[in-house]
Amino acid sequence: MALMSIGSRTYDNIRARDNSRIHLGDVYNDNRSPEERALKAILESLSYPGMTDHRDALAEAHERTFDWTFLKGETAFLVERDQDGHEEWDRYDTVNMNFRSWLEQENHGLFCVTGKPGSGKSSFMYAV
Amino acid sequence: MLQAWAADAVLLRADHFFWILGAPMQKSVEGLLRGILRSVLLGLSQSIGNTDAIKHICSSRWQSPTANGMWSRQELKQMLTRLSSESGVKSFFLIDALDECEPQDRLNDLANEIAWLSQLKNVKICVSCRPWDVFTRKFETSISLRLDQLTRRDMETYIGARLTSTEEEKGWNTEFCNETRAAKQLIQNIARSAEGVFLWTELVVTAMCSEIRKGSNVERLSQIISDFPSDLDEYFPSTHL
Repeated sequence: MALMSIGSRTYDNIRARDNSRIHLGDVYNDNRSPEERALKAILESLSYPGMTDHRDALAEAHERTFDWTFLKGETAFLVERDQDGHEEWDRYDTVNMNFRSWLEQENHGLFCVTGKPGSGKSSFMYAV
Repeated sequence: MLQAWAADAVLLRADHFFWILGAPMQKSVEGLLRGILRSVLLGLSQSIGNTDAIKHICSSRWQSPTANGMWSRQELKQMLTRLSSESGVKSFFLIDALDECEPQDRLNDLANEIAWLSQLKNVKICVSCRPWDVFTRKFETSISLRLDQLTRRDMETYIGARLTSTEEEKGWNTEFCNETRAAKQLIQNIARSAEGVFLWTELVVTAMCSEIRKGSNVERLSQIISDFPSDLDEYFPSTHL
């Protein structure tokens, strides 16, 4: 093999005999600036295996069972659809007001949702 | 809505879902801090389009991210502090299931770190947890929401529909179809006893439906509520819901 190319790049100084293979893998990464590389390395050093496992599992459960919908910027925070597909807007007014005013205002840093096991905490959180 | 709070500032968001079955790092305080720092740095780089702010926040790691070895909690907190006070962005952290963090006998450590995060400038945190003292006492002054109160009416609707349709199926009892006082009370009673737990409701209602099919009256059905363990931890000792 006297000549190899990836995309528009040509590497004419690489030689391999017989059936040898040359892996030119990540050479294209050289396009990135040193800053971009440093950022990527930092993000990678913060990552760990299984970081988003449960969120992924919840995404699946959410799709199957949960009928609360989070509407961005609308008057209702949580709505529920009845069997005919009509949305009920007023039932969650209390939570709507509490949660919304907390989201929008400056003064409190923490909002705490409590419930017994199986009362839908994770589903609620996923819907936010 | 959050944008109203952020006004013209860049709004960053990080989610963390503690999971008792997750990897050890995932359900630790360090795992939480690493995950949210990573999310906000990534968000910051995407929304600002240059790395100057991040270079400043992470100056000690910038030249060589792995030179300092494992991220220490102190270092992670230092960077989160810098991010919140110096970068001019606003951050929203969503942290689910605090009660699933490990080690379980040091949940007060997590509660303290959540309290620490929540007092950072330009940060809002929404957390969820079981109503355990270790959390409720620490978060006493925060705004809170009890999900069981929120879902009671849904429970009643669901219970009523199940029992009514089972009656209709058999056609020999009409307490629920006619919405008698006793039937209504029973429905409310189930929903109250459920304390927000959907699975508990499902188990009780299923037991009741089979009683209805046998021709049992409302008095007999009421008995089922007291027969059931009130807490699913007793019913399924080893599950984590």
